[in-house]
Amino acid sequence: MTAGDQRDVLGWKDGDESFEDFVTGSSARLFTTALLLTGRHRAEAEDLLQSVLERAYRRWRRIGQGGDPEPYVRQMLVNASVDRWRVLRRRSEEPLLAVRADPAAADQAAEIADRDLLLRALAVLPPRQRAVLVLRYFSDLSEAQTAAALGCSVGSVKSQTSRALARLRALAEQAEKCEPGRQEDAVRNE
Amino acid sequence: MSDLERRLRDAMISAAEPPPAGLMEGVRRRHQRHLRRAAVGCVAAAAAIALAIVPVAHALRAGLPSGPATSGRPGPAPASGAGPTAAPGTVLAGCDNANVGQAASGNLPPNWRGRAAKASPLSFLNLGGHSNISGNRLTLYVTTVVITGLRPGTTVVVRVPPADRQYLRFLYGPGDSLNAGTAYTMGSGESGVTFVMCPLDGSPASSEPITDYYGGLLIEGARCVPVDVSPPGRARPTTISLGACH
Repeated sequence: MTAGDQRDVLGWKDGDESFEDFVTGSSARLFTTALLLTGRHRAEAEDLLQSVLERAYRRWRRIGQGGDPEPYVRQMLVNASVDRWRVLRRRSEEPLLAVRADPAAADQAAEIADRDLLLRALAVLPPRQRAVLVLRYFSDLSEAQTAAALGCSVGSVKSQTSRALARLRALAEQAEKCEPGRQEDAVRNE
Repeated sequence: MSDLERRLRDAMISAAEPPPAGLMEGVRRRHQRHLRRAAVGCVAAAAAIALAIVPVAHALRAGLPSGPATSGRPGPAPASGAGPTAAPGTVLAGCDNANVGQAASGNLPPNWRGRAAKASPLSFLNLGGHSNISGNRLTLYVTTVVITGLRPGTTVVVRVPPADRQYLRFLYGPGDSLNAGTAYTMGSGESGVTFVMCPLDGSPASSEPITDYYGGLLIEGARCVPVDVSPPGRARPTTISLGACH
């Protein structure tokens, strides 16, 4: 079977190189977005991204003919992550304090530990708040662009961002207080 | 940008990972499955249309209005175009949030029927509780609602009786979260949910007519609370008790 035959069998139409080019060019950014949206759950992120790209492919004639398709696909990714969250959360849900730091990270510099802590705190936020933070601080979208991506008002983005950051700060502080190693560090710094 | 925002941005950037190998192949396989499912759906729709033509033709020949034929069977599935709707005072738990067929049964423990609180065709299966969450007297019970044996599209309505709504709320709504670290209040949940029996996806592995919804219950204190379950075609609800019932 040739590569062309294989494409026919899979229902993959000819002339879809532009879609493949798009996936090649943007998959790294989209995959990291998916990772952050799923709380760094790699298998879920891969599943989420695949399903969104498949749906994007079905609409590619429309999506691909405009300007840059990445914002549209990213929006699909965010919406899908929020919609699918209930199904995906079948994995055991643990409070932040029960999540142990990666052993490798524990031995590394404080900056790496801080990043790890923030990402773990991000993972326990409600999906909508997580999506707002990912769009604002990873995808670098403005408040208006974030509002458009999430289908809500700019005011809602502002309030969600504010609540999410407050929650993140509280979670991080709570975790810092309760991690023995960090307590010792804090004591030493005093 | 505050210090926290800057640190968060740095953390997110540092989380970057290379995309999985074989991403395009995965997308192709999914597309193939989609095409197969669409083909099965077309055949089913054609069969449904063909079956619907017969009573309409009979009605026309007999000079009767061509409304839906009435039979003794309860709970006809709603027309596919309309879709299930939430009963008054409830939120809809729809098929977007459900696990169906093997995806549902495969996630349930082998002895789940023996462990569940049953009000046929619906069962509540307790997967574990988190007491004293958020420093208050609420207990979050992680529960799966399992529906079996109904026709796709039919619904089962579950309500907390008005007198007990201050004691129990459901977390099955589209916006509900389920984290032990969440600062829940009784206002976080709903007093009623309309659960939908979902169609199988057409794959051979999904042969068992079973739908489950993963969610939770918020219960005030160590309490046993009655819940009314109304399956289609039954005039009176069945009452079951959930929570600390010994």
